[in-house]
Amino acid sequence: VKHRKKFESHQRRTTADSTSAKLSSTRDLPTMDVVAAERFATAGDLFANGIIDLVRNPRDSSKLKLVLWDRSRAIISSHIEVEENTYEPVQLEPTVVRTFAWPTAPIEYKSTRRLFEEILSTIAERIEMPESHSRVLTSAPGFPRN
Amino acid sequence: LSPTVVIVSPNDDPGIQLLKLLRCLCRRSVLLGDVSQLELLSLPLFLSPTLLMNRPLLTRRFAKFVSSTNRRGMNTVKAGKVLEVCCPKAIYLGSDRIPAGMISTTIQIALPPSPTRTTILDDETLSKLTAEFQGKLLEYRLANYSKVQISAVPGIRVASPSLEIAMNLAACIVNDTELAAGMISLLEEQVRRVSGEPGQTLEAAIVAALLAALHDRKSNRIQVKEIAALANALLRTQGEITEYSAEEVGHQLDVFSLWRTRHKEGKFLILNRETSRVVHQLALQLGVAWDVESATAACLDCELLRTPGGSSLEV
Repeated sequence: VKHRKKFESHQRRTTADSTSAKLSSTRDLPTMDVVAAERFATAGDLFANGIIDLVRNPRDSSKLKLVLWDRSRAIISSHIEVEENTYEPVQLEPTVVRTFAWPTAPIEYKSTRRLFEEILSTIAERIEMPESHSRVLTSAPGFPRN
Repeated sequence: LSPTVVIVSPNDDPGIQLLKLLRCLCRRSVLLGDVSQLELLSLPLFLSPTLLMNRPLLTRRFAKFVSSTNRRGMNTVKAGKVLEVCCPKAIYLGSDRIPAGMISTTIQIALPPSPTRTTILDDETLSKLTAEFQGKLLEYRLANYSKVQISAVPGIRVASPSLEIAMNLAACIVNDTELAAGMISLLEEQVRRVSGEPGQTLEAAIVAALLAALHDRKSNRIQVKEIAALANALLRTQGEITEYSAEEVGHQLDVFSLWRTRHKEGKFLILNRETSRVVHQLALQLGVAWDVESATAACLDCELLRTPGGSSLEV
């Protein structure tokens, strides 16, 4: 999913926001001392050494934050800085944010098989249907295709 | 290719419960009641949300829209703006018929007509499930997004939209080839049905329905809509979820050269000796099973089959 909106074209600014995080192409772990060239509203982005996605703000269900995954750990923030650019959650209608289902943070899933079996049993225990159907539904909903 | 799941069920409760459960599991999912194509376009579809629709009014145009917007890169135009419209969908249709154009491009889930248990998903349970699985699936996505390679699924060739869906689903299952391969075989049955067997299935069901009517002998005539109802009921017991219309059944009767006569109450097939002979011949041709021994003694065609050397029905 890529949806960007440039806020301030080619306007350099120093980021002093302590709630922001950074993914640098030259460093593995996020740091705070960043000079951002541009600001983007994003619904998710993929980079050479990381990925950004949207999460719900647990303190305000009508607002979103970003999660940054740098291939080893996740950091949740209202701003993410990647290679001198600043990313912010795309602005959405509060009703959309409240009504859509969002994660608030990544949760460890152990293994693909275990996650699959957990979803399968969650469906099978609650809705009666042939097992072949529940297995198809298990793979259909949440695995990363978007 | 984004999957579209079509759910059919004669009872609304399990169908709606399933939609609610899918909201807990699906990415950026939203439950929608009465919604039109135009209203869908007002949603932020660039998020690629999962649209969970409860009995939408599936006009021909809307069905075409659903079928044609499951590929990444497909756009539509609204008020002079180009909109991304590709997103996963689950549509609960109740007992409505699945539009023909959607059969080959969707995954069909038929819920049992008489479930033996009913689970009510209260808000607290749904919230807990949402928190748990949205979080786990987010971590799965973050950790595995870069590993998803559609072309990396071995031994798969794309021969139909259903296989393409299967390939997509399998490719998203990372680090477990056995699980991924299982997904292909699960959808093969649907692919077989879509790729040419439904016609044969309908033919056999119509003949079985006519045999039942002939052997019941409750009336000497039967309406096409009654044949359609009998055939559809039979097909449902075999797991078929496509509902055939009286018009489609009438067309097949034409192919069988079983002509109807018009009466003031409608069109009827007369259950006479000639009809019986044709139907029994068709049953033999299509391999429709029925119990010749227990068929009514008044059926001359069954009597011929019971008689050694009774060859007038051979084909």
